Amino acid sequence: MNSTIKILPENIASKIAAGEVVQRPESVLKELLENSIDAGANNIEVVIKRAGKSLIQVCDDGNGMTEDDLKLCILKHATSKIIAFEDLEVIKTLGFRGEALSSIAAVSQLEIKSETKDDEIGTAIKNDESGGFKIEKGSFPKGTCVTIKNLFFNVPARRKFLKTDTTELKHIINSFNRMALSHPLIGFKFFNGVDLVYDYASRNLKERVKQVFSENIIDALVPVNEKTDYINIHGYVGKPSLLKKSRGDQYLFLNSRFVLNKNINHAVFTAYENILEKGDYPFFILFLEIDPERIDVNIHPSKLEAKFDDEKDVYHFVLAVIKRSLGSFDLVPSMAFSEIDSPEEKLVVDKFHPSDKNDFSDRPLSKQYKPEIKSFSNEEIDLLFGSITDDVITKSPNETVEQPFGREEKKEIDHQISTAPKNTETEVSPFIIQLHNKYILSQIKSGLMIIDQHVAHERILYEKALGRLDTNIPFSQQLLFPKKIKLDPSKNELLKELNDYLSRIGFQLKLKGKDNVLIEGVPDDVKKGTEEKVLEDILEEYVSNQREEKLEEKDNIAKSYSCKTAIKAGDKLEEKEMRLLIDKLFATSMPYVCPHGRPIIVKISIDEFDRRFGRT
Amino acid sequence: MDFKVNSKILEKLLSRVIPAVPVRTPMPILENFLFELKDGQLNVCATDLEVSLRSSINVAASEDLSIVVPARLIYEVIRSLEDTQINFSFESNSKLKLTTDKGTYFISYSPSEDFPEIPSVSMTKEILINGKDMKKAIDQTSFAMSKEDMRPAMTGTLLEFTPDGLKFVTTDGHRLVRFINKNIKTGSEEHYIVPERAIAVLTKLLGETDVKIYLGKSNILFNIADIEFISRLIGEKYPAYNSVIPLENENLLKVNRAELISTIKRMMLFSSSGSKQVKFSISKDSLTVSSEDIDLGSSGVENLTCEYKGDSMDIGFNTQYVNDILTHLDDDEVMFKLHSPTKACIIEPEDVLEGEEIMLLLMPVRLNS
Repeated sequence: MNSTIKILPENIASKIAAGEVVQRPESVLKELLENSIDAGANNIEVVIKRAGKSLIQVCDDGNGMTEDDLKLCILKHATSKIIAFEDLEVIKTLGFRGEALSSIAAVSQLEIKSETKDDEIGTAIKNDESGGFKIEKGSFPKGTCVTIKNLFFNVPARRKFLKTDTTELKHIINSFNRMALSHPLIGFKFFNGVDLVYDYASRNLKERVKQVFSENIIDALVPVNEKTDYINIHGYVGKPSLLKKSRGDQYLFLNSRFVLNKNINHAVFTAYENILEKGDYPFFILFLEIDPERIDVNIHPSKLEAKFDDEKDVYHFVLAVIKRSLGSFDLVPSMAFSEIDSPEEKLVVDKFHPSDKNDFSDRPLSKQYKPEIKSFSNEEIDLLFGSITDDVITKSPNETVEQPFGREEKKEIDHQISTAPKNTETEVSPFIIQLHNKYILSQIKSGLMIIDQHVAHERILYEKALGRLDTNIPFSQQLLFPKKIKLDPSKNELLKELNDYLSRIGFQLKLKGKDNVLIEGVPDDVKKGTEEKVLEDILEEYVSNQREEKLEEKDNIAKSYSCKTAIKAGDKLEEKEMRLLIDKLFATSMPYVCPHGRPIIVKISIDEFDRRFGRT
Repeated sequence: MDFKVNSKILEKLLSRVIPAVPVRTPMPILENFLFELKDGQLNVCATDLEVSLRSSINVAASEDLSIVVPARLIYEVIRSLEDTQINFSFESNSKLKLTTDKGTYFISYSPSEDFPEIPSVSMTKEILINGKDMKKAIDQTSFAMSKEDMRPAMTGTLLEFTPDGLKFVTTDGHRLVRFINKNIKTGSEEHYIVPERAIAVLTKLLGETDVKIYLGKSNILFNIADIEFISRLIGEKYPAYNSVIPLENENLLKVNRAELISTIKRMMLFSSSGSKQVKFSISKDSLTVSSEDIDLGSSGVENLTCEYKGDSMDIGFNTQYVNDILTHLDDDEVMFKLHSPTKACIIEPEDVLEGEEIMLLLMPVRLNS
C-alpha cells in the first residue's frame, strides 16, 4: 500500500518555512536592517523598487563577511550571533535564529557583496535558478550589500497575496522608520527607485525624532527618563494634543528592538488617566532596557512580541514613571481665543493693527524703550489688582464684625502689609478672586490662570482617598449625634460590600437590622450636617460609575467619594481657602485633569490679552 | 428744621449702630441709617434684616421727621471731624446740610417709607444679666458653633432657661460646649437659638453694664446701656444634646492646661496637612502625646506629667479641636473624663467659679488599630 504521508523535498520545505519569516517585502527589509545593525554599521542605505517587489537593497558599512562566512550565511540555521543554546538567554543582538537569509534566499534572487575592513578583496555570492550558489571575487565597498530581486518569484501564491504597491511601500517605510528611531546613532538613507526619500544623519534621539516626524514635534512631547538597577526607560510621550485615534504612533523598543506589548501600551494609557478617552491612543516612543536574561523575545516569528519575567513589575514601573513625567509637565490647556474668533471680531483686531503701527512710529523705536514700558505697566497692573484685593478684604462681612469701629485704620494697615511683600517678590500671586463662586482666577507669570474649584478639590480628595485606601490609615471623626439612614435593599447590599473600603476612607458605619445604617464616624472632609446625604450620594455615584465605566472598585470608591465631598460650584471661598486649595492642588500628582477627565486649569496668556487689546 | 449736635457725641452714637449696616447687600436701602426725630430724640437705626441696632440721643429739635441717609458717608464725615458743633438742617430738596465752623456738607437723603421695619419685641418678659457674665459665657462657648449651614440650629447658640439656671450650649456635631450660669433663674423653661451673627455683634457690645434681655416669638432684644440690639432667632429644633452627654466616664486624667496647650501647638505642626489627628497614649500617671504626618514622613512625641486613674488607653483627637477647647478654658488644670477610645470625652476645668459650670464634650477620632 502506498503511504499517503511523504516527507517533503528540501526545496519545498524551505519555501514553506520561509513563509514564516518572509511574509512581505517589509519583513525582508526588517531582517536585512537588523543584520546590518548587528554588524555594527554606522550608515545604512536602503533602495526599494516597486515597493520591494522587484528590488530591495540594503548596504551598510559594517563588519562585512569573509568568503567562508558568505558561503555559510545563506545556509539554514547559520548565524554569527549565538553559539550555544545558553546564549539565547542573553540575546543582545536583534537577530539570532539564523533563518533570515536562508529563508529569503529560498524565495528570491539573492546577491550579497561583502568586504571586511582587513581584506583587500571582497566576495560576492549569488543564487542561481538551480538552487546552487555562485561565488565571485571582486573589489567592493567595505561592509555588506544585500540585494533581493524578484521576491516570491518562485512562490506565486505569496506574490498574489501581496497588496498594492502603495500599501506595501507604506509597510516598508513604517518598518524603516521604526529601525531609524530605534538606532538614532546610525545614519539611514532611503531611496525609492532613484529618489532619495529619507536622509537621516547620525544624531541623538531627540534629533532623530525630529527628522522622522517633524521639526516642531518636540514641543508636543514630554521627555521620560528613569534609570534603575533592574530596568531603564527613556524616550518621549506625547502631550494630549498629540492624541491619535489609531494605534499608529506608538513605538516601544525593548532593548532597541521594536515590539508590541499590550501590557505596556495599557500602562501608558493608564498613566494619562483621564486625559484620554477610550479610543484615544497616546503617542509614545519609549525605550525599555532590561537585562536580556529577564525577557524572552523568541516567542514570535517576527520577534514582534516579548515576554517579561515579571510582567506586573514592568507594568507598574512604566505606569509610575510616565505618570510622574506627565504630572511634572505643564499640561494646562492654554486658552487661545483665535480658535473661536468670529470673523467679525478678527476684523476688529485687524483694524487696530495699522493704527498701532502708526502709534509706534511716532515713538522712539530704540530697543531699550519697549521693555521699559512693559515692566512699568506690569507693575501698575499688580498695584491695581493689589488694591482691589485689599478693598475686598476690608469689606468682607467677617472683617466688619471684628473691626466695626476701626475700619479706616484697618484699611491703612492692610495696605502697608500688602505692599511690603510685593517688593520682596514673593511667590504669592498678588490677586486671587472667585468668579461667580465657581472659578478661581489668579495671576501667573505668563498670564491668567483659571481654576475650576470643584474639580480641583475633587482631584485633591481623590488622591487623599486613594492614599487612605492603600495605607489604611483613616481619619474618622466620631459624631456626637450619630445619623441614621434607611437604604433600599440593593443599596444596603452594596454598602455591605463596600463597608471595608468606606471604613478605610474614614466612614464608620453600623448596619442595623435589615435596612438601617447608623453613621457613627465620617472622614474629615465631609461637611458637618451633610453626612447622610454624602453617603447616599456616594453609593449612587458608585452604582452609576460601575454601570457606565466599569471602574475598579477602589478607584470607583475614591472617585465617588471625591466627587460627592468636594466643594461645589456655588460655594463661597475665602481668600485663604482659595490659596490653600491651589497649594494642595499643585501638590497632587496630576493637577491638570480631574479624576473624571475634565480639565482643572485653563490658562490665558498675557500675549493673548495683548493681542486682544491690540497691543501687539 | 434745624438742630445742633456735638460731633463726638454723634460719632459715638453712629459707631454703635453701624455694625448692623451690611457691607454688600442686594437691597441698597439697607446701606442707610434710619434717622428718626421724635419728641426731641434722635433715633438712629440700622439693620441687615437679621440683626438690627438702635440707639438714640436727645437733641433740641422742634419737629418730628423720619428719613434715611447713606450710612458710610455720614459716618465717615462725622468721624473725621474734630470736636465741634454740627448744625443739621434738612433742606426741602432732599438734602441734608451739615454746617460746622469749617465748612458745609450736603448729603442726599430719601424718605423712610422703604426702610424695612425694625421688628418689635414685647417688653413684658425681662431678664437681667450682668454684662461680664454674659460675655464670659459667650466667649467660652461661641467657638463651637457650626459654620456649615446644613443644620441651621447648630449654627447658633442655644440659650436654655431651666430651673438650674441659664445654659449656653453650642455644638457642631463633633464637639459640644455647655456653660451654665446658675444665678439666672426665671422660673420658666424655655429655649431660644441665637444666630452666630448676633453673637458676634453681641461680644463687641457687651461690657460692664447690665444687659436686659427681652424674648419674643421670633426675635430677641438685648438692651445694653442705651443701645437696643434686636436679632432674629433660629426657629429650628436644637439637637437633643443631653442624651449624648456620657455619665459613666470614670477614667480621669488631670493635666496642666498651659503645658498641654504648648504640646498641642507643636503637634499641630505635625498634623496640619495629612491626618489632622493627635494621639493621647495614657497609662497610670503618664501621658504621651504624639502626632504623625504620613505624607511628609515627620512625627513628634512628647511626654507630660499628669494624674491618671483608670484603664490604659490610646485615644485620638482632631488636633485643632483639642487646641480650641484648651484655649477657651481658663483654669490651670484641666480634667479629661474618658470612657473608651470611641466614646465621647468630657473635658472640664478643675475649679470653676461659684454659680458657674462648664463642660466640653469632644468626640474622638478613630485610631487604626
